[in-house]
Amino acid sequence: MSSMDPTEIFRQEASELFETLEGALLDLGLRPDDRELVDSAFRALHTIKGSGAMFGFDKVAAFTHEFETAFELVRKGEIKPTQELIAVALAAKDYIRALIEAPDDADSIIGDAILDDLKRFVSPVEQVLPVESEIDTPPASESRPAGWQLRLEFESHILRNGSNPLDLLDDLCKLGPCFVVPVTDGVPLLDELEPEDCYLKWDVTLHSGCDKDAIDDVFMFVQDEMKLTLVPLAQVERAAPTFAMAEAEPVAPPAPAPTASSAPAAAEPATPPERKRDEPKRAEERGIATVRVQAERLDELMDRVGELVIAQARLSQLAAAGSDLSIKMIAEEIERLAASLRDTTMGARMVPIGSLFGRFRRLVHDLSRDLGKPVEFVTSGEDTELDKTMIECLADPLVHLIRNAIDHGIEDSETRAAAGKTENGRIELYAIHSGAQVLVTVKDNGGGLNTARIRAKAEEQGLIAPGAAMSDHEIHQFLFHPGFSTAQTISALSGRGVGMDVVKRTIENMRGSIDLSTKPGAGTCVTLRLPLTLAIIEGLLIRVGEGRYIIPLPAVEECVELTADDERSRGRNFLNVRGNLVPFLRLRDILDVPGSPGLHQKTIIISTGETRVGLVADQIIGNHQTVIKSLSKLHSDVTIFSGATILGDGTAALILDVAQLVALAQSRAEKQQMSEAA
Amino acid sequence: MADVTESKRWLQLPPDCSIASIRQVYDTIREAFSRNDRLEIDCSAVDKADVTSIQLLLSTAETGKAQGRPVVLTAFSQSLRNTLRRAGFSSDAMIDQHFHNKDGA
Repeated sequence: MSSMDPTEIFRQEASELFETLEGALLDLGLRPDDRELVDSAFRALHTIKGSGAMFGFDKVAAFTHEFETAFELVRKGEIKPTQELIAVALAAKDYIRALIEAPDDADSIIGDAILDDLKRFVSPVEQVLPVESEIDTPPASESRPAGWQLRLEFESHILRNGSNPLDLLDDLCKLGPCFVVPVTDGVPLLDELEPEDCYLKWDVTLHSGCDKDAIDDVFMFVQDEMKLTLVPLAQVERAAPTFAMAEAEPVAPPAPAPTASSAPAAAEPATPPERKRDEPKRAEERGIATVRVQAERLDELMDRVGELVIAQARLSQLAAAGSDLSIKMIAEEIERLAASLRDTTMGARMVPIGSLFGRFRRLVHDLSRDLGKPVEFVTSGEDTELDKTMIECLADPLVHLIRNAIDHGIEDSETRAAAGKTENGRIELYAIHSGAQVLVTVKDNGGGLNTARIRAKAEEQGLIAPGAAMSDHEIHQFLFHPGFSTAQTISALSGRGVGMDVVKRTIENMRGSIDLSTKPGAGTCVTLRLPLTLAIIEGLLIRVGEGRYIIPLPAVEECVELTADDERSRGRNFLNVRGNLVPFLRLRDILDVPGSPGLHQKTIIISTGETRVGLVADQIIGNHQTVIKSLSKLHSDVTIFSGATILGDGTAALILDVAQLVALAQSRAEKQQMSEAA
Repeated sequence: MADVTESKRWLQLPPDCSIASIRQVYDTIREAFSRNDRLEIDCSAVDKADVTSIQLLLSTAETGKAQGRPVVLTAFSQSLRNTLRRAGFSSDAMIDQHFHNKDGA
């Protein structure tokens, strides 16, 4: 068992916190009055600071502290989270990330500049503070006590985690003279006592000029497992206190002894108590519900399951050939267990695509600002799950598509106004399951593709002969050609013709495909069709001639016999399925299988995208758990096969890529029609 | 391991009364409680104490009070006293009030 480097664990945790922070900041730009967002950003900052200090990232802790100080004013409602402040905060977040990921490359001059910017927002407030203090807090000359009144309530399980409230009280006492009063009324009688649970609470009066940050720092590592109520002593004196020191003893040292009363309006307003009560619950659930596992271990587990599935297929085949009933029963049991293990393992590798979508919000935000094109970014289907490997591979293609959509698709405000469109462009990014595939779509409401210009550019580059007959669909495919760009100027974002070919190559490497549709003046829609997983699929094993092939089972709708009437329809190739005409393809023709077909050919009706097609095979052998093995580079141009698998008898079967198969057949049919027309 | 010495109405708490052993101390106190009308608990040997020890003693004292069965805690060790002070039981009077401590200061 290998153990992870603690620094690496911090980096991973910080990465998740950065996503939370960035999401909260971007949302705050849209909903500046949402206190939950402010608190969410603040919590992320605070945890980064605390963990950074703990793991020796002192620069991170120091810089984040400054950042946090500025943001504290937002939290208190003293400054508004304007777009300018959000922009600086995002830059600060990027800088902290750089400090963690590549500390040697992080230029402190940049950090100082960002801090200066942050202080610009803070300074005006500092200047007006004395005026506000006259209103809200009594001046020092009135001898108001400096300090805080606290109530500490811990989650019941906190002692089991190794946390010790007494150590925290000791730390608190280091900030200044403390008057600690234990609240014992929560301790049950013996019969109900769980001896390892925490029942005690504490009321603490702290006489110190320290700020709230200093107190927060004491409880930094248990903040999700406790409720901390803080009231400045000055407010306690002027108004009724937030909580009662229920057991103030007669022998207690002199201190402002608060009295029981209802919570005052002046109490620390930052966080509603209802929400705070929920926080520990969430933390507890999180702790129980998730375990952090290294990605390589999941890959390794998947490989082992793959080997098990192949071995199980061999066992099943041997058992079927023999006559020993008990062996057959064991083989069936192992088959069931292997299938269950496969599903569980694959489930563990599935990640919601929302984890990927979140990062594009920042991209759109920055591009929109840089290009001066206001863009509304809408996402949906974040819960759609994909294999983690696919998620990692999808990031770059989506960056290219979104950049292109903003740079080339969305028009500038004047052009949009002239076309009667809304000032804000709109980019939609959504994901849905569709049969055996996940469809990820980037859609814009920009000007659409200029087919004539694409064609002209293709002719100019010698990709097609001038005047050659081509469909719009075929012309649009030149966009995926290496080095092809219709952009008249090269910008920092796009226009070099590098990008769309990379998108296509990446998606095809994932056994996916790209659909592109466009409407002049209305926008462009690019849909990435991706398989659910790259590891093991449920397949339908068929025979065509002597060869055996796998069709991914989720793509299969039904199987029907090819009747004599259908056979006679040679040339038209349509099946009549309960009154509906379904086109079919003869796999013997497509795969160039010699010889004549058997008498009872079968048709497997598959769905790919919006299309239903029949595939005619010689025999349907049955279901097969298919461990996908990649084809060698020599076969990389054979698009109709997405991989191969090993069967129970040790032979190989090719996996049909049904979408590519249908596309190939359509292309052949179109060419045939064109040649016939010519 | 908790090693609670028990006579008819008298218990001596083991040196380790921290969370690591508190479950066994709890079981022994409950058992002693079930067999005696009154209970005297000697805390002189306690060497390791924490929040769980304080809570168990508080609960024991309160249970005795609720059931009308006197519970007396005696001879608090220095270690236990230190833990109590850290938790805010800062005076002997306060300790006496909460734990019905026989020897008070």
